[in-house]
Amino acid sequence: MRIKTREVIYSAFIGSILYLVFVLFSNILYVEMITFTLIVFSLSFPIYTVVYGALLFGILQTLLNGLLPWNVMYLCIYPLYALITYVFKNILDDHPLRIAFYGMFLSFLMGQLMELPFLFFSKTITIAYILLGLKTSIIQSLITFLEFLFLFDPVKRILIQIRKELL
Amino acid sequence: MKKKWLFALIALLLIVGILLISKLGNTPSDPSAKQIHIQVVDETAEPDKTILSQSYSTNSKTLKEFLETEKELEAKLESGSYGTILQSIKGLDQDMDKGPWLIYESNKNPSCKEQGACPVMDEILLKDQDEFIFKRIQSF
Repeated sequence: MRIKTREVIYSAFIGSILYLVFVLFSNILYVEMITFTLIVFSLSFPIYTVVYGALLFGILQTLLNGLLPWNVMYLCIYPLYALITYVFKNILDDHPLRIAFYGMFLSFLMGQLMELPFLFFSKTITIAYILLGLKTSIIQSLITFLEFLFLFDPVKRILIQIRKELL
Repeated sequence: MKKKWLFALIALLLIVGILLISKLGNTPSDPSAKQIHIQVVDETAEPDKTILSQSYSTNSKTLKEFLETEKELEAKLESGSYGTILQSIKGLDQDMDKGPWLIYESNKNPSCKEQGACPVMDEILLKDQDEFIFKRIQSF
């Protein structure tokens, strides 16, 4: 498959925005915007550019912060999230509440999936980490739910406008 | 639109609820807190009158620090040449020259036990389960 220059630029743009959003909110407890950003991009930009963008984000994260289990998980999970969102596009589009619940679920799941690499070290440690992180994951997913409720429509509108102007 | 605000409100309430529950669950008693028992007796009264007998939880290191922080005891402290002097506790005053005097003793505190009598309160290190008796006496 030949990739057009425009699509490479889209992917670079999406990847950098994802990384920027990740860094901007990494110091604010319970608030993560990356699930929101990824999903809103998945529903407004060509899906392969979003998948490449998510891969770029994972690569940047791994190269800049080290080959650590959780960074590798970013590399695996976010492109997958983009693909899953694309698969459910018809069910999610134009249903603000569905999207909010979907985003909340993915955000919650992310917290749990991140602990999976610890299974290589110890099952008990993994279960302990999951249980300890449960409170954070629940609050984080509820905040993500609010992000989707209030920001999804306006941000999607702006992104689609940007895409149309770029085309 | 109304539905959206309703869900937002539920989410907000859940967040506040979870934070409150975890906050309440995470406030066990301070592991460094010590339980000490204080008794204040006026032996100048006939018969002896127990003014106070109560247990306190404290993080104070010394008896002086405890008396300074525990306002309920109404302790008045003065700095003397040998250390801090207790001038009044629970309304019981002392007269250094003529008496009555305030003394304190403990059968449990290691600092008091080691020396046979309690040293100045600045040097009495509090231990968990300590007991102190503050007495106002007319004569030694």
